[in-house]
This record gives sequence, structure tokens and C-alpha cells, in this order.
Amino acid sequence: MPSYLLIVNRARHRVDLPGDTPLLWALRDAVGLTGTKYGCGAGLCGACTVHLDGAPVRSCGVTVAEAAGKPITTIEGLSTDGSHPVQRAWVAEDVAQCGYCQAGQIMAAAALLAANPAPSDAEIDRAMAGNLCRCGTYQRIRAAIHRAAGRATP
Amino acid sequence: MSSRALPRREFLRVSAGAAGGLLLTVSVPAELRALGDSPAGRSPAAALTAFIEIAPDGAITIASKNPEIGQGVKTSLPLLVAEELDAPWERVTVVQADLDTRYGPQFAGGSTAINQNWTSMRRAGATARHLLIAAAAKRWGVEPESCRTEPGVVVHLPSGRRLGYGQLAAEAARLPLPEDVPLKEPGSFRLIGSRVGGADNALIVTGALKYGLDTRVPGVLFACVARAPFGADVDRFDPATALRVPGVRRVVRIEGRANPLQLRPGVAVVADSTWAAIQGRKALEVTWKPTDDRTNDSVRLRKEMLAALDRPGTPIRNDGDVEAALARAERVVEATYELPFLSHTPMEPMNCLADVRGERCEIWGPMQNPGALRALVAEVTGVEPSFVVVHLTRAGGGFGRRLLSDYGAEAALLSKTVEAPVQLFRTREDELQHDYYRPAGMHRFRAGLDGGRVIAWEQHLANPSRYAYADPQRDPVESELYKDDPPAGLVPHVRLAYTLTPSAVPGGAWRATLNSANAFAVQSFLDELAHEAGRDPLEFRLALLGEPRRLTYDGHGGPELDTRRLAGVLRLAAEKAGWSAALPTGRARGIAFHFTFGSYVAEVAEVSRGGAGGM
Repeated sequence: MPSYLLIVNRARHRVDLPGDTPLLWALRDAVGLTGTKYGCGAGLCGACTVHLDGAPVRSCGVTVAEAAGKPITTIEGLSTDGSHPVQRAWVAEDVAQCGYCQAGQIMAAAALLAANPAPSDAEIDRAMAGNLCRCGTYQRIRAAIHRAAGRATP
Repeated sequence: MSSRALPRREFLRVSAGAAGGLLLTVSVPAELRALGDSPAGRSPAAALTAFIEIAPDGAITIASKNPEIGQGVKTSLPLLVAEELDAPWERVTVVQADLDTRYGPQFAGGSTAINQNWTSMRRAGATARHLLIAAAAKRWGVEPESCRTEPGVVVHLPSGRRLGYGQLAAEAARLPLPEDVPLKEPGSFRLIGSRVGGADNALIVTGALKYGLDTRVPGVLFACVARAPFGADVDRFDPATALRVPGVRRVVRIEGRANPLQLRPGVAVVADSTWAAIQGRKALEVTWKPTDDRTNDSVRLRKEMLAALDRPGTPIRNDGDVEAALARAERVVEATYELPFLSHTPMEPMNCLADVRGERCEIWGPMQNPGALRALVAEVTGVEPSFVVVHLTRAGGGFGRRLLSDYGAEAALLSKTVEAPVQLFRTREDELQHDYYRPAGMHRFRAGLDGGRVIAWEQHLANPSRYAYADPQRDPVESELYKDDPPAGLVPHVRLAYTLTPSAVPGGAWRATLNSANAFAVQSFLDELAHEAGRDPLEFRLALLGEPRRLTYDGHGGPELDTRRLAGVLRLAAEKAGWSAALPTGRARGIAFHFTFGSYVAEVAEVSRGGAGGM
């Protein structure tokens, strides 16, 4: 079995997995970080969004071979204590209903704000369009992103 | 957690013993017990009722009994307890209760959580508060009537003395339970009606919350199932190709049960990891054979539904004389509505972790009806129900899908077969291809308009019925179209009819069952009638509801329907949506109402026309 080095939330993990194993399952089953969620396994829902080299990716669509050696950030590593502005905004706006998609939503939102500190509604909608929420929390997601950007909802 | 290895009966006995004089109730849920036993060095917290535990430092733990599927009960039910307890909400920690008869019914379905637990949850809180006051009064040597509570504190009014709940909890737990306790007047509510954040918010945003699929126990194996197509069974399978995939341990045939809602046939692949199980299933060679002559072909089903609508159907309601009224109506409007099979598609797929060991079984998973899941697991494994321990995990959505327990049965059977804990999971493809769908259906309407009013209403539904799917002998004539749904009862001449068009496509409960489908059809047709009559859709509906009165409603939420309340929610929704305000070109509003499950509902949708015919 090949061996890969995954650098997850600044910690190094050696995983022995077939190289085509999706990063999602490497994180969940081998590294033991279950905050990253499985929703579809086909890059269609965004629930498994993580940051790879600082960019948002669907971890179900990236293999361990591709991710090896690059910095990976998961929801568990966004902050040590839930203090990232996006996490705080998510609590303040009470975004979650079932909550299952929210790790992916938060990772996508954090990446959006890192690239665009004051996005408009249209920019939020565009950046977040690939992250599905079956409960339909989109209005609150938008409000939380504005809040994290330091603004009230326009 | 130490309780994991203990069967239920033993658990109850041990915890009662370990509790000593501090515990009022026979046992506390495992999570609460773990808190009490925590190495923080504090003395064990006192359990005041089955739902409440108060630590010496005043920290309050409230157990939430119902499954949390995104509807918010893990916040709202404990809030009811906290209200009557007069608990400072910021000192409350909510834990999910395991399945346990002490909590009464534990269930998520039918929009019943608040109306069925409104009194009992408040009484739990009020009882604990009563005990805390009694303990304080006893210590001070005063009458309980001279004491009151502020959040987390008992106050002796004449002297101004104060004692925190944490200082009183152990004593309070030793006092006899009162027979009955008064509840607060709604005017004095502090928490009910206020906005509080979800109890799990902090865990959700950090990824720390464990959903069913995130549950891990030592030695767990992962399994997915190649399920037979609708109306088919396993013919032949060869495990060899699957077993060659690294990490695959076992290939196990699953026999379906006579009731297909309980278990459908397939072949499971059990592996060391989720990905290995998925790869193993992909490699599996299996062929199927048909076992059900009902159609699984949607083109054929559609033809059968259309043909059925051209025949009279079985009458389920007949008021007045529809034919005569249609004959004299100024205008007769006819329309047919088609609804597809709908998958539940919760974000978290079905999954269950089962650990069957000898005469006991432990289950973790997202579920809406844990009691039914336990009963089915007991049946398929032969483990006595009282030795099936069920842990409810927060569910990534439910929508009615998790009312069924088939995935729990699969997990338990596999764990028993491979003699290891097994996490059964479904992929997204499984969810879409092997659901118990909201049945497809076809509604045909005819209505007579006279002077802009509806004088005759005819509706005929043809569908495959989820009840007939599970039991082909069952006549579903009463279950698919709800005979008292408005406009029945509001229009003088009404005829409702039903025809079963059987199908092997699995049917199940999907978000308020067929209310979601029927309301769409009825309200859409009402809109067509308003349009034909040249009347505003809101005003047309209000005129249809007419003078306030109570109608018989023989269905979920009955026995009565108050038209005043239906008109009230319509007006309120219209007002909040700015119904009469002008809209730019390319935008439009629609309005609809429905009554079911005891709830009066109105909605306004505002839609924009997008590019390429999109909305």
C-alpha cells in the first residue's frame, strides 16, 4: 500500500492508502477528522469543502496523491476555538438548521472572504452557489457572510 | 464511555446503585451519568427529574428526548424545561437523551414535538423548581410560599436571603416528588417566545458535532449494499471480484423481508474503510431477477394514471350534484396535474452503526422513530428489545425518510453476521435510487364558475399509494386524497374520487406525506380558477373561505377546521409579502393556503423569470 504525507491543520499525518482514495475519505477514515462531511461524492453539493493550498476544493474530488504534501485546512482547523469571524457570524445569525452542510458552507465562505473582504449579495450568491443546503438556510448564510465581513445585511 | 458495554437492564440497576441517595430517578442517561462522573472533581450532579441535572456549581444539564433532524427540538424542548425551571439559559447544557421509556414517546414526525410536549416538558421544569424552592425553604425554616425564584436562584422574599440552584440541588433531589405543580402564566415567560441560538451551534461551526456518519467505535467496519432494483431480488452473485479489492473483508447477502418497508434485498460489501466498501461494491458481480409484476416503468405508470383518470374512480366524497352544477355553470374549467416520484435526499445519507454481541446490541444513528428502529433491530437479530441500546445522533435532515428503519436493520444484520461493529452507509446514488419515495400522482380537476365563484368542484387522484406498495392487499382509497381538504366543505357541489395505479416503486412518507402533493395541485388549480374568473388570487381565496365558520376535518389535526384562521394566515402572509405592491416586469407573486397537522399555513412566493426560460 502506498504511503502519503497529509498536512492537515498544520499537523502531519502519514496515511497508507491507494493513491486514488478521495481526500474526503482519507480525512474522515484515516486521519479521523469527521467535521468534513460526505454529501454526494461527486462534487455536486459542497458539503466536503476544505482548503487546499488556501483555495476551496471539494475534498471528494481530490485524491490523496494530489493533496499529499500540500497544506490542507478543514473545519476543525479554521480556528482552534470557533473564533474565526465566519464561525462567530454563523452562531450569531443562528444559521444552522440540521447543520450537516454548514462545515462546507463555512469553508466556502471563509475562502470567499479571504479573496474578497466585502462581497456583494451577487458575489456571495455566485461564490456559494455550489454549496447546497437542503434546509434552505441561504438567506441566513448570506446575512452571516455580510456580518463576518463587518457589515450588516445591506 | 463505560455504559457502552452494558445491556439496558444492567445499566439501570448499576446506575441506580451508583447514584446513591443523590439521584431521584431510577437512572440517568448515559451522557448525564458521564457528566456526573467526570474527572473534574466536583461531586456528582443531582438529577431532579428525568430531564434535569444540576451540578453543585449551578451548571444545569437538560436532556432533549426527541430526535433532532434540523427542526430545532434540541433547543425548543429544553427551552420549555428551562422556562419553568427558571434556569439561566446561559448555564444550560443540552444533551441528547438515548432511547429510554422514562422520557415517554421519542419521535420526530407529523409536526408534533411542541404540541405534544408543551405541557410535559414544562411540568418537568416546574417540578424541579418546586423541589428547589422546597429545599431552600426547609433549610431556612420558612414557608415555601414566602420564596420565589430568579434565574438560577431561590430568594426568600421577606429576608432577601438567596441560595443558588447548585447549592440546593442535592437536597432537592432527596425530597418527595410533588403530585402536581402550577405552571407559569404565559405573560410571565422569559424564554419562550424569545430568540435563542441552536443548542448545538458552537459544535456545528467547529465540526466537532458527531452526526451518525461521524460515529466511530473501536474495530468498526464499513458496509454498503448493492440493492436489488424495484420489484426484484438477488439472482446470482460472485463475491470474488469484490474480495480482491484491498480492504474488503466480507460479502454478505441480505434477504428482503415480506414487508419491503423493513428491509429490501441486496448484497453487502463489508470493508475496513468507507472507500474500500464503495470500491468493493463497484467490483461486485451480481444479477437480479424480477419478483413483483407491478410496474417499475414510469412511462407505463403515467399511461396507467392517465387511463385511470378517464374512468370514474372510487368516490370518496359526494356533496350535492356536481354534474347538474357543472351543466348550469357559466364556465367549466378543467386541468390535470402530474407529480413525480420524489426522493427525500437529506444531506446526510442513511447510515447506522450497529454492534451486535451475543445477546445485546448497541445502535448509533440518525433516526426519526428510534422505538420502531429498536423493535425492527430486535426482530432481525433475535436480540431482546430491552437489550438493544439506542443512541440518537443529530440527523442531517430527515424529511420522513428516517421514519423507516431499514438501514438500521441492515446494519444490525451485518454486525451480527460479521461479528464486529458495522457502520452501514448509503452513497448519494443509493439515496436517489433506493429511496421510499413520495409516490407519483396525477390529479384531474373540473370546476364550475358562476358569477366569479366556484359552485362545483371535482377532483380525481390516481397514484400508486405508499400503503399499497407495502401491502398490495390494502385498499388505499381513504388514505391518498383527504376528503375534508378545502375547498370541500366550502363549495356546495363536490365530488372527490380515487384510483389506485399499482407500482413496484417504493413509496414512503415524505414531508407531511401527500399534503405536500395535494396542496400543490389544489392551490394551483384554484389559481387557474381565479385567473379564469378575472379575480385577484388572494381575494378569490378569501371569498371562497367566506364567512368565518368551523368545518368538520376528519384527518390529522382535526376534528375541526376554522376558516377564520385560514383567512387570517392568508391575510397575514399577504400583508407581510406586500401582496398589493407593484412588481417589475418579469416578477410575479403567488399565494396558497393549506390546513393539516393542526396547522394553518399560507405562503407567498415571489419568482423572477430568468434567462433561457429559467425561474
